[in-house]
Amino acid sequence: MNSSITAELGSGAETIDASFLVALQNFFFRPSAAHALAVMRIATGSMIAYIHLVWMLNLESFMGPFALVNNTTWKGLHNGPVRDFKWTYLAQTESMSVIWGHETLACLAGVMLAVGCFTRTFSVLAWFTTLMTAHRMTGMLFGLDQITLMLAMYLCLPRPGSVWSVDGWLCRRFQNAYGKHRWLRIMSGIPAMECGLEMPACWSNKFATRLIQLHLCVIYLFGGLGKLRGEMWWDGSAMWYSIAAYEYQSMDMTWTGHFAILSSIATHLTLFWEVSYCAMIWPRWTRPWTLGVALMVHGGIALFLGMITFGLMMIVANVAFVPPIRIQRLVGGIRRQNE
Amino acid sequence: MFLATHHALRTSGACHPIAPTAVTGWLKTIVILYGDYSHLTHTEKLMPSAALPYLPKLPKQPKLSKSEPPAIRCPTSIQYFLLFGFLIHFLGVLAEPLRFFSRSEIRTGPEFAWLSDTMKPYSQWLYLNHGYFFFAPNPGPGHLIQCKLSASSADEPSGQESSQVLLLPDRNEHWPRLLYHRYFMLSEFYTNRYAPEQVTQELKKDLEFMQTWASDKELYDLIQSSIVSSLKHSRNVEKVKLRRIERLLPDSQQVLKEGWSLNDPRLTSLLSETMIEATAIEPIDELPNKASAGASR
Repeated sequence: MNSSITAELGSGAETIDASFLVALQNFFFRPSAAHALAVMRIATGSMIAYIHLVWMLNLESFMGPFALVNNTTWKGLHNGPVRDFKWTYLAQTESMSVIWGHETLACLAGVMLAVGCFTRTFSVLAWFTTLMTAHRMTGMLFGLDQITLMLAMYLCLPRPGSVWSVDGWLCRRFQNAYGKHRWLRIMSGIPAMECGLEMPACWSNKFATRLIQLHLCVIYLFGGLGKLRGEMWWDGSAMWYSIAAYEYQSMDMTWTGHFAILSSIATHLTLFWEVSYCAMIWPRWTRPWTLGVALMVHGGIALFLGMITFGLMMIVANVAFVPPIRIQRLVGGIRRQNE
Repeated sequence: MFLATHHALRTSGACHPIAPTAVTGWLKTIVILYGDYSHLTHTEKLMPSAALPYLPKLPKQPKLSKSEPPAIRCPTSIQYFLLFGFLIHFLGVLAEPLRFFSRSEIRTGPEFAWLSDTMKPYSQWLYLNHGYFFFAPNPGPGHLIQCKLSASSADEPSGQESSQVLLLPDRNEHWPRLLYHRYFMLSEFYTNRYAPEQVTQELKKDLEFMQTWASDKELYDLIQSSIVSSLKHSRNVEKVKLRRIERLLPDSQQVLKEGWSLNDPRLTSLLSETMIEATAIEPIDELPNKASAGASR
């Protein structure tokens, strides 16, 4: 009697285990193509290069002995009674040559990541140098840095350089060299067997995509929960007060005040969309609508609230939810139209 | 129930008998992530049992159809390490917002405080420690730094002190927009770090408050002197005076019916540097110009 119960329980547990594990395995590790990641790679690399170029416009004011937040102040802020782990070598040096060298390298790494040249190497370098700069720039960072660093970090894992990249082209052109020289394969992160394939699929692409998707869900969930605490998001006036902030304004949208109901609907739509994003983005039939609202909200932030870089990077992060095959078809269609 | 399931799993042969060390497992994971894939089969052969003990064996993934391209799969033995790594990482991502949201005036949720403290080295260094409060809980007023720059009187032929006023951020001066936004964030940071020069007699009796105030004041002074010395150097001036300015948000009535612009002087006010005068907020006619109180060095 006892042994039969155990056997039944055992077989039941195994069935549950197996189906759950298969689902888990498919969710995280089913090989997928890199087209969505390639779009993110191009955008993130370009943004990293741009971010560092902007730092370099006024570098002496941001780093070095005459920085607005100098090294002594930085240490005061980070080495207080509560232990801080924001270590960066840029806070240990006052040499402008080192700082210029670092920023130039970061900018170069961003460009190389965008064009997909030795992608694996430069993705790690672009992420690391940007992280070091971010740790140094206490007090001057905002959402853009959070999103860019998040994407750059996850792009170190997969093979976004296998499509639409210099690496991909080199790999096809010099297939034999890639087969022979291991350093080429390590630097680019493209294995010999992927050379010449139109849609190379790899598990690490899926894994990195899932990490970006889940991280994005956390961002939207807590962003939405934060808004739920504010009464302006409930009484429908938050949209007005966002566009009435002179420091943010890049285009005069105060005329929307004439349409108080529409403004209020937009506020509530933003609130409910943000809170429910983490649930609505997964089912196939709600995903396009969720992505559509994301495009409108972030497009609005980019165009009207003066944060074009942040709005753009949020849209780019949402590309993680677009299947690679759709992106490939879309780009293929555009190419054919141009030919 | 647990023992029965455990026993069934053990006897069904779905477990790996050999348990390699976590370090070896992680090293192998790194090899798989960054390694040379032309030797993938060989690598896979090397670690057929590189999973933790007592965990059921992950099933092999079904073959893709012939129309699908050839794919690189993750060795099943590595998947456990990656899932474990993902779990740790995800806790790192969640730790800070959970702590942030569970904070009240009385305390912070103890389990989230513990999680946040535990994950701190990881989440802080990887720059994952954010609350994600974008325009939340409510859109608020903007803060600016007004900097009065004075050149040495000796340089002036008339012997008088010449001065100019700089605003951080300034739309006309700070371009591109990202650069403007950096200065805007700095002015918000400076205001957030504000600690009054003096506190009321009543507060002086509260020792705990005074201790916090003293350390906050020290940091605020440090930031202030850092900005001042940077501006002195970049603008080549002798004296720099900083003042904090707040720009309130107008309601739709003020803008659409009364014709106020978003940068109407009536919306801006000078913020006091001391708690004692905190009630007397002076309006500013024009930006950047008049104001009396302020910090100078």
